[in-house]
Amino acid sequence: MRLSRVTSATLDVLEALMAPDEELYGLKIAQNAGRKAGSVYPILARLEEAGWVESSWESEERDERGPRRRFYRLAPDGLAAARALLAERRGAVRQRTGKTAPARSPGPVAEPVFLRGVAR
Amino acid sequence: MTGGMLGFVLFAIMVPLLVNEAGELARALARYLLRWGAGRIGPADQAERYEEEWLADLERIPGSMTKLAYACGVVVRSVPRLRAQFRPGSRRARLPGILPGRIMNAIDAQLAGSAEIEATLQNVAEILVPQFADHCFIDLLQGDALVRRVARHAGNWMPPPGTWKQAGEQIRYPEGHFCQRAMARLDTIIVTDMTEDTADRYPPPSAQSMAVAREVGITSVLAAPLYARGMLLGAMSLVRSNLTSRTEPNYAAADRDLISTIADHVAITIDKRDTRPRTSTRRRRPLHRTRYILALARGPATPEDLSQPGKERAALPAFQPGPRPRPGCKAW
Repeated sequence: MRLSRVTSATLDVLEALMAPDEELYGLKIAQNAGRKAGSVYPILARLEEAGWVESSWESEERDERGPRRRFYRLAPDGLAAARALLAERRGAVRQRTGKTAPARSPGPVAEPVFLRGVAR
Repeated sequence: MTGGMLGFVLFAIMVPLLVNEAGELARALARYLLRWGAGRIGPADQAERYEEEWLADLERIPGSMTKLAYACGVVVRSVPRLRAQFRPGSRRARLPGILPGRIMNAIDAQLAGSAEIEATLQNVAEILVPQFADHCFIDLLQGDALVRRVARHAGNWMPPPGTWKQAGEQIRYPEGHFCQRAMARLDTIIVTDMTEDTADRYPPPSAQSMAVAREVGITSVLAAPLYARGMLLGAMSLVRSNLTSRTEPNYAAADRDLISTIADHVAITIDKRDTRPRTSTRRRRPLHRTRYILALARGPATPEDLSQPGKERAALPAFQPGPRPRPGCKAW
């Protein structure tokens, strides 16, 4: 399903979702994307509605009590669509795994390790 | 001089107290803001979801003032946009409001009836097909084996023998299949757009099964675990294909919410109607998903297993989640 609106923040969030991290929750995605958390949740909701992103609650078997985190990951078909979109808009996928994401500068493009060798 | 000393002592005592108080107040205010903001989104399920999600993320933020800034940011930036997204009239809000509302009412009426469980499940499938799906499957665990109880298709279409499992037949989903994933994750799986590429990511139970899937042109899939009182009972899957012509051939996130609710209601009904003697004194074992997967991987049950309807589901790992505070609890 196509996204109704693709902003630069949407692209940042998609890049953050491509991080090889299985426990990506809203706040972490916002940090990796270099965006305010408040602006990331609606983007995640739109991506989820479009079927690009899947989300699930943190396991009940965790040690700590309290509210559960909501983990986000790209759906299988969302991953392919996100890669195509990023390639179209930005030329390639940049890795966003750092604690503080770099500014949106056209620096050297680093392909995520988990995508290396994957046929495009 | 005495006044100065008194002032200094008061200052030395009061300032740390005030700072501490301000920190506590900021944390409490942040939580209050997030709960209030979540409640403003609209639909109760979304409000509950975002409240818990935001409160969990809040816990990961160091510093009281930073927490408050985060909460303000969420309330200012997220709430209006999410409210607009879920407001009545938007696609997301329209789905649970009209068609799914009617479906849920009809299903709940069936589940509340006194018919045999097999007939009840059949009726549930008839409500969903073809209105909401072209194919509906309900598989229930019997011992370690998964047995198909319902296989309903649109337009009286029937799969060729030996391809898709019929009611009464045992089915074994391979690792990675959407139903297997739903049961392993205890979460609903959505495949929005089932293309050739996507299909490769979900291994079929058999080559014949895959051939039929291609023949009918599967477009989208929803698979939900049937899970009640800490027990996994089976799985329910809805499939759209080219059997009927639809304006929307793909399931969306809202549809996932709907089938999750339906699966919950169905599971509760199955659990209630289960008249087999319960070993109430037996302590339920914690669920380890790997153990469940291993149980499935042990292979098909023997005919002897299937002929013992009284065989308890104890062979399947089960767990009792235990009390967990909900959003709004003071423990948070």
